[in-house]
Amino acid sequence: MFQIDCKSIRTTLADKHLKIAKAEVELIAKQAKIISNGIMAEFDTKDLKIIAVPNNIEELSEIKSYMSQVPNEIEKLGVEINKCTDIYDMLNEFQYAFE
Amino acid sequence: MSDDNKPEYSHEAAEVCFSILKTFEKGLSSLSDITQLEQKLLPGLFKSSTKMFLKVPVKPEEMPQTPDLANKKVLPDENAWVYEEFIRLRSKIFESVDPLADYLKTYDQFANDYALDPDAEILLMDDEENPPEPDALRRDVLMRRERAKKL
Repeated sequence: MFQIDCKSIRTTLADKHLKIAKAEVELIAKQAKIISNGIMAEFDTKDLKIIAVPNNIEELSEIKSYMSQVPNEIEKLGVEINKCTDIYDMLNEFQYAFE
Repeated sequence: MSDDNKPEYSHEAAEVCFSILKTFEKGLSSLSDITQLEQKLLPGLFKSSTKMFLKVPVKPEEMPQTPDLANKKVLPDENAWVYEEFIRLRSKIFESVDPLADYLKTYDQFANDYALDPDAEILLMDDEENPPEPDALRRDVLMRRERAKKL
């Protein structure tokens, strides 16, 4: 006598969760982008400092001394790089489509 | 879903009941539209050409009063049974829709899901000064996907 169709309710509720999940994946991607942009900026700064043409011997020795510090600084950045890699792994797990 | 995000029937149970009762009444009234077959098959037997209809039960507007048995001149209403059947049908139909309200209560277990406002949740998480930890987000994504699958 009565027919009850729960499909639309189930779909509505499931869609709510899926919408939040999708936004969360986007948030993870946003964070990954911010961190990787930060790392890239750090490397760009280092690169600019190294490739700068010295005008005198003092500047050259300054660049040389800076270059000797670079491995240590890159090691410090390693933590951020690892963090970023973990986040990208996460995004891979969710099959996130990078643009 | 209602305006306050709770499940509701697309058709009110009472509406269904009234439509069944209306069908019952319409069925009875349609019976009185059936013309007598004899008048069509044997027109010679009938002097008048006025259409004659079948004598059928008619539902009284209200329960006919039972006449005083001592008064032999007044006969009981022959359609009293129709009214009695109508009342019986009405009470049975309304009885049959009662469990629908109880059934709706079984959906109370999803109260948290109804109350969930995705836009508000997303807005809350998207805090640039204090972003949520990616690991926490990952766990939540997995939990929500699982919940959606379950639903």
